[in-house]
Amino acid sequence: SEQGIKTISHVNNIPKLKERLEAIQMKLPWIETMDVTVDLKVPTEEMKLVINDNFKQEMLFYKQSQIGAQQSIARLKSLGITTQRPEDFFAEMVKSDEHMKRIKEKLISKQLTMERTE
Amino acid sequence: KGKKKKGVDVANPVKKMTWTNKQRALVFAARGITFHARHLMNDLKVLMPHAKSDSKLERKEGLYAINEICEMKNCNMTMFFEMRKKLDLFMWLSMVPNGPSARFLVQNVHTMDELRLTGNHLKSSRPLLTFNKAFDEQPHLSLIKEMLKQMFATPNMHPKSKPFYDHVLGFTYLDGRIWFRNFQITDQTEGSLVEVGPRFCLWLIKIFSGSFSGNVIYENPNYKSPNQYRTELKIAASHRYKAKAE
Repeated sequence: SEQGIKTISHVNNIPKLKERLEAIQMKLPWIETMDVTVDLKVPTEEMKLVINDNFKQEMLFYKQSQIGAQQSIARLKSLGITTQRPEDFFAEMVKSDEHMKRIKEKLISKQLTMERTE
Repeated sequence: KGKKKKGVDVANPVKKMTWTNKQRALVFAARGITFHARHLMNDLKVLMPHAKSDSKLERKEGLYAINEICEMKNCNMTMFFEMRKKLDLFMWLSMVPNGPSARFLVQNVHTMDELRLTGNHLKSSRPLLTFNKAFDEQPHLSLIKEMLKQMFATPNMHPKSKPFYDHVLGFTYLDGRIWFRNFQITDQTEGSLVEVGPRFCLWLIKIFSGSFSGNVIYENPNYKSPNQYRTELKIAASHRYKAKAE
């Protein structure tokens, strides 16, 4: 077979990529984007295990968001911004009450089947 | 020199913040997307109070027409979905009108409708964004990071946003793909999270210097089109059959 002989050169125009990045970057205060870069410092060997394990992968995503959220909340507080919603503040949620009810029902029925099998 | 001190206003010691960052994103799709893809798009729109929508793009109009549509809608960026064979979902991110733009294959889609994600948060509260370090290690990823940041960040004091912080979006570059997660912050002091959804994963195909135009400035060497992938699977299956028959 001819596999391995075929060489396709893929474009990776680094100067142009950098130029485009500079062109779109906006000098905005942090509060406009509230972004954080999290360095999870996972060793390369362990990373291979993470890629092949769905649960470990999800844990990694969770940890990144958890660390990032804590940093951002602290930063917002240091800027004197209220972060927490007051208990009596009601507003529309992304998932409706009806949808949340269905989620709850499913959780309960799942628990029941678990108990039955035990 | 030095008479005006920056940021200090005697009459108003606390500087009143106003809506100055007027970023708008057009989120829409080409005709021919399935209901599942449409649900994902609608979920993302719910997460982006600064998003505008438009009717589906007709096939014959061509991608370049998107730039004009954005201009008419006063949008400076767009997230555009298209589907091939009612099977493979592609996403475009583009900064209008000068670019760059990027095309991705969207994989592992789970929408908010699914019942196993138990989190919930305020509609149109501004998200906190998190990226992992890997985005800063290659020029094309830094560019994608900036585009994602501008796309998903809701401008401060946006009239449709709410002033509380109860969810966090995670973008993780892992195994050559960008993984998207949305979590509710259930406890701010302990930092415990519950996933809300949607979930998806982006596989970068190409980056173009312009908006739906211009030269290719990055091409993913590991990308394999879904058609190619399916063909390879078929060939592998036929090899198995041949080996059995012999």
